[in-house]
Amino acid sequence: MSATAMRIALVGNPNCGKTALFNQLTGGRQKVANYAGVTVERKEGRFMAPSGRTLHVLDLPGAYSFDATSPDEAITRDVCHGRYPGEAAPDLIVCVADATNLRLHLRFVLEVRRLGRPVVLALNMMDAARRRGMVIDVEGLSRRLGVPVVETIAIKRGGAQALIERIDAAVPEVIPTAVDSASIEQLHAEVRSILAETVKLPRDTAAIDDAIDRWALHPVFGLLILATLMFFIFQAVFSWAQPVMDGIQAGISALGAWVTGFLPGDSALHSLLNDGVFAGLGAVLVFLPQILILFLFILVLEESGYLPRAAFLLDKMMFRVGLTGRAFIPLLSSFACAIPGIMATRSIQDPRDRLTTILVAPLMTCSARLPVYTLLIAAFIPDRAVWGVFNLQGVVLFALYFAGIFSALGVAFVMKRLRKDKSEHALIMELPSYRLPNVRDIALGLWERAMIFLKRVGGIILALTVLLWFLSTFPGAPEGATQPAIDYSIAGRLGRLLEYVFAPIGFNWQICVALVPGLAAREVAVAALGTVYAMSGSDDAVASQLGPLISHQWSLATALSLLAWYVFAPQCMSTLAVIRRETNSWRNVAVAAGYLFGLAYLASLATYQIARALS
Amino acid sequence: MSTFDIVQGVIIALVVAVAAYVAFRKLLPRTSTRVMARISASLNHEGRSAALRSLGRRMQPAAATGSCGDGCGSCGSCGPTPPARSEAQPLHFKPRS
Repeated sequence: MSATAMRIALVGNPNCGKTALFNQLTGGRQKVANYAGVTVERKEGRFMAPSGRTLHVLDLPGAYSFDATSPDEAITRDVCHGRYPGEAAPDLIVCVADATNLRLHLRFVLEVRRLGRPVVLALNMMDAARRRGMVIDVEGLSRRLGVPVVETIAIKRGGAQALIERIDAAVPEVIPTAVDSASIEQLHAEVRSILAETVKLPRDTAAIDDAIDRWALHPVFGLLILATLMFFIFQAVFSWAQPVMDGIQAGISALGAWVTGFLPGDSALHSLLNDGVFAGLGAVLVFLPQILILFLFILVLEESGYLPRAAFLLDKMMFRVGLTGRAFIPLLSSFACAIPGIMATRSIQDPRDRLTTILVAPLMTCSARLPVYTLLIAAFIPDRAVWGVFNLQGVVLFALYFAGIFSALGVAFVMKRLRKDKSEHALIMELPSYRLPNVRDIALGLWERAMIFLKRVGGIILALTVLLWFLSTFPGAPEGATQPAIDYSIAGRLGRLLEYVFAPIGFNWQICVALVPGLAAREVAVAALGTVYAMSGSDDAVASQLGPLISHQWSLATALSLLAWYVFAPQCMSTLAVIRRETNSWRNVAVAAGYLFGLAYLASLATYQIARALS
Repeated sequence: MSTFDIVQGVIIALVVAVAAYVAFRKLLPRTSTRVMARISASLNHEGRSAALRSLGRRMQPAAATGSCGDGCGSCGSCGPTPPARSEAQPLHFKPRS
């Protein structure tokens, strides 16, 4: 073993705080949340110990046992056994256990001990254990287990100090265990014996959890609470963001006017900056406040421990349509973005359940749809109260999110009917203790979301906007042309060509043009619409405010049709790429893209024709 | 053609070329890595001038990665690095007997 590059693996049951400890040790910012299954892949970091040694730290997916039943647990098993490709066995295993739930977590500690490698046990969440009145004889526990035991509070600054000091000291000796081939029953018996000797537990569960769960898990009130919560979130997305959005819009307009003021008004460079960069990027950038408000709620829910309860509440419905309750977390992650959602399906053991979840995950309303939805809703749905309390725009957004959810349930139901294997899998899920969200973690989470969004705006969205401007500008209009110059450009001609296909669903040629770069990512379509309309001869003031412009030029039927399109259409190449990687099959990509585009077209066609007939 | 027109043309050509390159890298990371590696290898070849070889070395691509920051929603949950190939767990179905 090298003295300067010791490899440490963090292992333990799901949701015991491994990633929070990893972040403490390495200064990393890996995602943490209060539910099982957040980490589904191996993450590596390093830190310098007080002695000056560099230590490599591996954060591994949570596992209840080395008898892996899902792909993420298999990673942990293989790394710990030294069988992971290209990865040497760790020099030290830090086994993290939730001090408030030792009855469950100690069994895995005993399994890890049987590996015969140096182990340190980190008793995490000791603050919560003390609050519950638990008394843990740490010395006694260490003696019984034959491994060093340290106390940690992974979510508190300095909460891993004892662990760092222990890691930096000599590597603990391996004490041979007496039960090398113990059965599960023997392990449970040993856990009970250790707990009886070393832990005083006033009650099995926290009183506050029981009190909240009486309502939150109630079959009727629980669902009502969940629906109210979701409804409130979508109301807030519309109501709270508007003042900041107005400020951003005014700022972008002023900056655009100032920057382009130095250039001749009829020059191509002026057009590139004004019609391409400011009209395109400005149209997307204004949605940052809404995205952050949505994520504020998602992060708070993730940290609070409420999400697994929501999974429990919805399990019955998911079960009926052929989804496993384990699909809830991946599908919920897909509300942020389908990519981590699809990756999170690695925690689903059954390959068919996993494939079903992967194929319906793109139907969850990811945050990239938000700019499209809010643009169209703000332009076409009146901003008025419903029943004196609710904002109509918020109600429509809520309905769109639920349209995605119900579509996913419907597709899963059809897949259930089509598949031959009718075996069913019960949901076994750990309900974590409730906890107050950490303000710093929420702030960091929001900061990262904002940075990711801004990087996308400044990266792929800017690049595609510039390319679209180029395609919308060249070739220029011939001498004596009477139509706007864009009509003669490559993009204009492409749009007119596509219009034949999309006319039955009410899309004009500008929408058709925007859908092409929008295949890369959904919100690119908003930037593309900004550029296309700016190039179509709209004046500068209107071009910077896409909403009022389209509300004059489109019919309500067209807007509703486009909303229906975005509920289904897989306008995201990265999602399709991840489906390919996770299923190792182009056929599954074709199935996903085919059924999603098919549904999108049919839904838009029905919406457009019905809306036109009614208007 | 005025000086302004020439400068403008050069700037626009550069901006569009960079945009095309960025889009290529972001949307087709593996293909772009392969292409860049091929171009780099052809430039950094025995017999080429020192300047070309230096350019070839500079063009040698770092492993290009598609990430959730590239082509989909504003997630942040994928982690900074994509998983190694071996971590992906392909689904294998066996025909029912």
